[in-house]
Amino acid sequence: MLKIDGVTRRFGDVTALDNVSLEIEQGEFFALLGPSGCGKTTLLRILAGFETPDAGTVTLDGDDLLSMQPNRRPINLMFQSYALFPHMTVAKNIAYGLEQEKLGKAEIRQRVGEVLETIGLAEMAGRKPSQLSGGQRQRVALARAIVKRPRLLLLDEPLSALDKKVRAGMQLELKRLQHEVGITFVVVTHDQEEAMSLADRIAVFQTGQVRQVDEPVALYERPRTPFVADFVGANNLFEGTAVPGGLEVPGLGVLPAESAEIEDPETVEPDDAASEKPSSEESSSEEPVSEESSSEEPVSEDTATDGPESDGAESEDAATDGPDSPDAESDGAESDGAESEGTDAEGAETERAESEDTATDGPESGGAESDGAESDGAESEGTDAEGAETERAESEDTATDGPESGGAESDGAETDGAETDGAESEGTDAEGAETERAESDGANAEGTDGKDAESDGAGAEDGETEDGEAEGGEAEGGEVEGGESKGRKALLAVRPEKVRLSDEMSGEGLPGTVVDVSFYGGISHIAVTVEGRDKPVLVAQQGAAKVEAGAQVRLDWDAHDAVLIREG
Amino acid sequence: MGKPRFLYVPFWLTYVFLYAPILVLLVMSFNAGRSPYVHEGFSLKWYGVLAQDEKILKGLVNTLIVAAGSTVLATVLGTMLAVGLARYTRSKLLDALGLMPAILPDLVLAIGLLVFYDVVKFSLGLHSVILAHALFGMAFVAAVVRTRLTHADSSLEEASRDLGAGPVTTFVRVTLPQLVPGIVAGALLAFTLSIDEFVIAFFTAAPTEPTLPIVIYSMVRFGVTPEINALASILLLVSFTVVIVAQRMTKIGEIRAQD
Repeated sequence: MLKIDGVTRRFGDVTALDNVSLEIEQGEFFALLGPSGCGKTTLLRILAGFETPDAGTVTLDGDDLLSMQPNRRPINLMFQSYALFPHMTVAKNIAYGLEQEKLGKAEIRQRVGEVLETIGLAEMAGRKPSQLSGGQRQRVALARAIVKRPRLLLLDEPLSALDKKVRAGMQLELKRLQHEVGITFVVVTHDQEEAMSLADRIAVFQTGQVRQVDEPVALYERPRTPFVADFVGANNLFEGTAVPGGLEVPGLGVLPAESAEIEDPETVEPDDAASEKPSSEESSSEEPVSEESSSEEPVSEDTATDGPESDGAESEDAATDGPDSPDAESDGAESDGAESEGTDAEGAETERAESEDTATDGPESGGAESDGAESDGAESEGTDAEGAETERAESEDTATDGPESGGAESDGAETDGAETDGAESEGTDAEGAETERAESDGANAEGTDGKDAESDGAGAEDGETEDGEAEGGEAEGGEVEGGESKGRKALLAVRPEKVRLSDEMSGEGLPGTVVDVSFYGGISHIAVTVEGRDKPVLVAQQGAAKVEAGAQVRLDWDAHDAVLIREG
Repeated sequence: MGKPRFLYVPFWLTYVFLYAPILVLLVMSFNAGRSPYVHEGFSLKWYGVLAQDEKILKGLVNTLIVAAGSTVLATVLGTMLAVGLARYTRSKLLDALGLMPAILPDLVLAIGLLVFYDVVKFSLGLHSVILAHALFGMAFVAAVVRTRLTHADSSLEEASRDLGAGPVTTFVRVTLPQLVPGIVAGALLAFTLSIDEFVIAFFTAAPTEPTLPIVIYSMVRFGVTPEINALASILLLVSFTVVIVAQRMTKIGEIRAQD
């Protein structure tokens, strides 16, 4: 219906709008969301006709809007200040637009009467705007705009001048009206709650550019850019490097998350993923750490799986032939007893193959390739992966170190959490490979005895292999037979209400100290400082919080509740 | 409230300095004697003399004609100038030049006008004074209306356009009503300025049609009588009334604008 194509507007050196293109459908409630100065109001003014873009076109049902004077456009704007004419009564204000259409007096009176009924201000018809409350003025402004029956109604911060209580009512009112009159609404707002509650779709603006156009839920749950994550939903943001199963943050370890790029709906639904897995007890195993491990990783056991990959294929005497995942195809990867060879996986995740005498045959899926991943007992050799991550070799006799590639997110071959006592991983070469954490206290899950294992030369320049512990080793320039990979800078976003807080110090998760607890709106807002991070992590809990300021707590969250966003 | 008392002293001194001469003038206008300097008892007789002075009455009528005519012209032109300056230019120079006549020395304006009238062969009379007064009155009106316009909500005009009104309808039905207080204040200002304006009137009036200030000036040359004081007192009263009304109008306008 409304098509905005390549619209650019500059004010001197400032580019208010930079090549903005949007399409808005008939009958849609569309929101332009962004902080002040992001260009959203300029776009609105261009639509209304009070600004002219330097470049680009705007068409409404195919008609060129830009060539029309503002008073000739089938568009009405509800101003932020409402812009009611102070010297006219409410009825006169509403009638003003109809009078310009040269309608008969009787019709004007009838339509004004109707719309006054609709907004419930019939008895205020004779009052001046100065005699009305804020909410009433807002309704009059709305009535004045919709009485014209425009094809498109623009609303500039429609609720910002109202106090909170009135605002909630008006939100409903606006939605009801929009539904009733069937006019396409475009609302401009800096208030993400307002946008979320009103709109069918939202375009998030930043510095004159559209960052993401999505439905409210998608925007909230799957932000695609760091800006959107920060602006929408007050996410806790962590900067780090993408690794399988999460994000490695210096000083904090690996935080669980799944990639925003994974579009497959099945990856969102843990149940679906689980059902496709080989039967395994520990199928929910995105966690880099197991129960016994003295983990620093802020992950818990019940972390849901992410992805259709074979996570935690565990079985006794089981031959796990290729985790059943949509794209997965497993061949060549052999982990016999202690060996896994030629694991080919493009974009595949063999996150954990725990098995006794299990041969996990290399999962292949997605498109990453890792061949020659060999983990023998405690040895993993030549894990080549473009986009592969060797997450964990953990098993009795088995080292199935399924190369894992979190889709697009991991171009890096990463040996993550290879917990082996004196593990040996040879030839794990990768450009930007990360040997994230080789912890060697036998902290492996059940029955891991990688005692002979040695981890050496994990291709990590910065990698430390000390007593089998290589932490945060980031390998650059390593080479793999057959592939290059890279550790990606990324951002992890997790919303306050998704963060779990436990006061049991023995559990997993990020250790932290509660600095502030405030309760409003039926929700406890808890700020927790975490060592190694400047900003406190915000936690929202339904109802009154059980913790008090000063309490030592641990924080964790499910991987699927956190979103990884590629930076840049 | 905690403010140092002694600061009132300069305030009151200034006030005395400002109003002492006016007070003297008022008192002397009720003088029974002939001297404008020595008070010899209360009397209204000079007001009576004033009422019968044909020259003064003629001057008064002329002045009122000039003031009324020039105020109408100045208000219309000044408002248009202000709107044009506020809405259609961004030039600071045009802005400054438009309001220039208000601060230009009267003498410069007077000589300029006289020369101009002569060049275009414009006859001198009340009409030439009206035009001359309209010229500087316009600048004052424009200055007042311009200030109001910058404070006025331009979104009202946009709303009017948005609702389908053309530029002319918008100006008449939305812009103008917003400016009324400013226009009235500007008009009253132009009126008072015109009433006691001397220099420009002196240069541009015909000798046969003097305005009141010119009449007074010619009388003073032969010595001041309490009659002049009486006249001055009346003018003072008129000016005061007008200024206070203008002030109130602006204030009401501001309150209304805030609503």
